Amino acid sequence: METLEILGTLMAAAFTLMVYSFLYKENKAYRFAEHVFIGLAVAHSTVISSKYVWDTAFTPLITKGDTFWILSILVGLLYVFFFSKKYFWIYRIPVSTVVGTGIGLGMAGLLRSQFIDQIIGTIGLPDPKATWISGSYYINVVLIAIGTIGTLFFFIFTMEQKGPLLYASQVGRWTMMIAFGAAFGFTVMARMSLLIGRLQFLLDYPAGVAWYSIPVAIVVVAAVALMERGKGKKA
Amino acid sequence: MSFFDKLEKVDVRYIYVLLFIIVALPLLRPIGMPISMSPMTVAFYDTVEKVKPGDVVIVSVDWSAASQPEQYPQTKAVIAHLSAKGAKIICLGFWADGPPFIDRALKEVFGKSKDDPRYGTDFVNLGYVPNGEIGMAAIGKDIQATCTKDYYGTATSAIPIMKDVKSGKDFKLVVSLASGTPGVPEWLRQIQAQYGVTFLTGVTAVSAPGVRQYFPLQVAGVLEGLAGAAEYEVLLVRYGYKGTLAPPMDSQSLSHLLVVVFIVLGNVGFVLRKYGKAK
Repeated sequence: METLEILGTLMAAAFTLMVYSFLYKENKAYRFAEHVFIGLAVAHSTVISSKYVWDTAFTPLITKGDTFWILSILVGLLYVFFFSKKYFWIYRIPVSTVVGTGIGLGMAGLLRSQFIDQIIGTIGLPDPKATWISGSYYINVVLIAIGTIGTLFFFIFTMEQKGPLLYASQVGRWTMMIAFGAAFGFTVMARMSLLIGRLQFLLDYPAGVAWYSIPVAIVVVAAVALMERGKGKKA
Repeated sequence: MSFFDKLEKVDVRYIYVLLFIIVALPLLRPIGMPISMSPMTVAFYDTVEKVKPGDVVIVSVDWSAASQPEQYPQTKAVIAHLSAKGAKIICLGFWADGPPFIDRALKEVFGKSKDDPRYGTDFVNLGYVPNGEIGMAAIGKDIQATCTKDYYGTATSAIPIMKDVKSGKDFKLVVSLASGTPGVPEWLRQIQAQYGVTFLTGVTAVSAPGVRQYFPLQVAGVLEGLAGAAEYEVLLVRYGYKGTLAPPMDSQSLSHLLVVVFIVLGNVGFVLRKYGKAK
């Protein structure tokens, strides 16, 4: 490992442990790591975005004389008026341009991808020759059909929910509760994955050097805990 | 004070320590628990298997450093699989953090990134494309005008792999490794629905329930979080791919078991307190 790589790894390990120190209690090391992260993330995005604007707009304008870009650059520069109380309204011009373009483009594919294709996907069956299809898939298909219909009935508000409609909407309610539970389970899985990723990095022994920082962190936390206990006794 | 009363008042930090130990132990001494296969992962693998040598495949790295443990293994495995199939791999990212991870994955798969002789002919890193969904629509219309330079500053027009790739019609397959917005719905709206391109995705576990409804009609295969990446690594063993996710999956399974135990204990305690007091 090169010296710079070792330093980088140790720094990453130190910042990981600073962030995890929050689990003990809110502290300055955690705050420091949080602020550094936010600063770095903003700086990175700014530099990368600026480089893109330079390559895509300024370079053709200067080298090829593509004057078309002048308009885009000028409209983009209007974002600066966000910082002016008096001329704040000008800032709305680029924002509305981006929002309008975004909504217009989004609408173009929205109907197809998130309405028509979704209905076709719910009604239709995939190729039975597909290797990933097993017997349980067809059970799932039936469950999805029942759950979808039940959930749709749950959101019928123009009729009083009684009789068969009540039973159908209760199926929908149970379906949604199961779906929320599954979503929670996936969230737990994702959070655990993050912890696993960090611990994998920290415990990379003996190939890595990050694990050196663990005893240091334990000593620091123990020292802080002892100091606080001492202060508590004096008080 | 009953056992459940004591458990309710336990310092949460003891639970953190227990969780750390449960997660750390399998990383230090792997157990080798079996990895089952989900149909979404099999479908993902099968779709990549259908790629023919020379097919143009877009790999979009739409995630940030926060998703690295789940999505870097996905990204690396996808690039390795596509490389084994002889695809022309065009990498880009709609998240600013994506391109450095592409560079790292290319180095790990090919040995080098821009210095590799295959760079520009077999694979390329076009870097960051800003503006989310608008950027996606733009690459669908004219990818060369949208990405004028690659990640390393070379003009896109001078890169051989890009000569026959003009618009979304030229993409054989799009793989988006996505963890938020812009991500799967944007790709579906701007590329899959518009050009009928086969679309695959790898997502974080948090995003997985929101993507399942697109499978299999709109999204031909899904890698769901760390588990999906581990399953995919198992399938790639036949290509000599060396995965790294068996020990983390042991940790994942054990940590889930711990959460299940706590949920059961919490609910039993709740029921006992509620009905015990009523008596």
